Amino acid sequence: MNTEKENILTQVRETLVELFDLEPSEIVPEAKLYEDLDIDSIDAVDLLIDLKKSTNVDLTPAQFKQVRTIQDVVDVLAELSVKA
Amino acid sequence: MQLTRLRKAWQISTAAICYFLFGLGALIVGIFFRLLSPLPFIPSARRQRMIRWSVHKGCLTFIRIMRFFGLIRYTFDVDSMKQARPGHIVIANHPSLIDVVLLLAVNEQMCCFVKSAVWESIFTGAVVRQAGYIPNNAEQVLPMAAAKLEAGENILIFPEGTRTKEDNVIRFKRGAANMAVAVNAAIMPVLIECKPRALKKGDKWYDIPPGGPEFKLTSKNLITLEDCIDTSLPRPKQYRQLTSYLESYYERQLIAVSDTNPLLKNKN
Repeated sequence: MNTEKENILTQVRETLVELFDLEPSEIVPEAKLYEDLDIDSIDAVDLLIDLKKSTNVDLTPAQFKQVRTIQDVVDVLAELSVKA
Repeated sequence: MQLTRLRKAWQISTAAICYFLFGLGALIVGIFFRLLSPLPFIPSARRQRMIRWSVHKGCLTFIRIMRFFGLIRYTFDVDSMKQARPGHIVIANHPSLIDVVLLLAVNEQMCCFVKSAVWESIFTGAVVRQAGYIPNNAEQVLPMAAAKLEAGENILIFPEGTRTKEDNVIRFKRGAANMAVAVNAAIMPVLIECKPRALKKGDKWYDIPPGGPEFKLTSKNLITLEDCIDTSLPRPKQYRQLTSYLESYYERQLIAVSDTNPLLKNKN
């Protein structure tokens, strides 16, 4: 993982801790949103809105649909911030 | 021995009659309103009210027939629910197969969620669609429910999602809380007691304890969100707080009722 992705991961971790009362240590790249972190589809909508704000990336629900793990979230955000 | 077998046979046949009548009733109501549907002079809101009223009366008739045959006993203490301001979410614990029937029997106009088996069924499909119920597998479940709550409908949801397990431990899913937070709706908690436990998940529909289980429905005071959670928190935290608040609310209530009846508590 390069520094850019590390930075994104840090930001995602902060957002998740803030929104879902999770422990920072739980938020590792391989953690699955639904199974491991108990984040359901309704939560995902709120997460999406929050990430859009905090990262200034134009994230759409369609792009977020395929996301399963924390790594996926970081990858989507990294890809979009390159395009931006 | 002979008598027990006779009683069992009587129970199975009367239960079969009841469930048959239930299916037949749903089918007739469904067909009746489907035939009415091309008629332009009944506005759809009015039609929905008529169907829900028919469902209510049908459920009331069903539980009366079951009681007549000695398959169930029941008492209702639900004045607070009938007087509560509209646009609330009715929640209840879910011990048995017929909980929804009991709740529809005491509410003349109530919306509920319907699983796809019921939505697709030839017996119940037409009724539940025309009654404006919400299919629980729809993509837009939350916005649909929110619109109905805002229009002043009351929606029933069993936060456990499925019937309570043998161990009687209450575990809530977050759906009810999601809905309540989305529209800042108040919550009407209903306690369903079923003694002894019967018609659980996995039980056969005809496997009914002698004399029938005793159901008691009790509605409590309306809960508003401000009473129990910090509504300034991010919404995902509100969902979680509300869910665990309601879970412990039910745990307390269920312990309270089992304490007042030590005999049954020991038996269970």
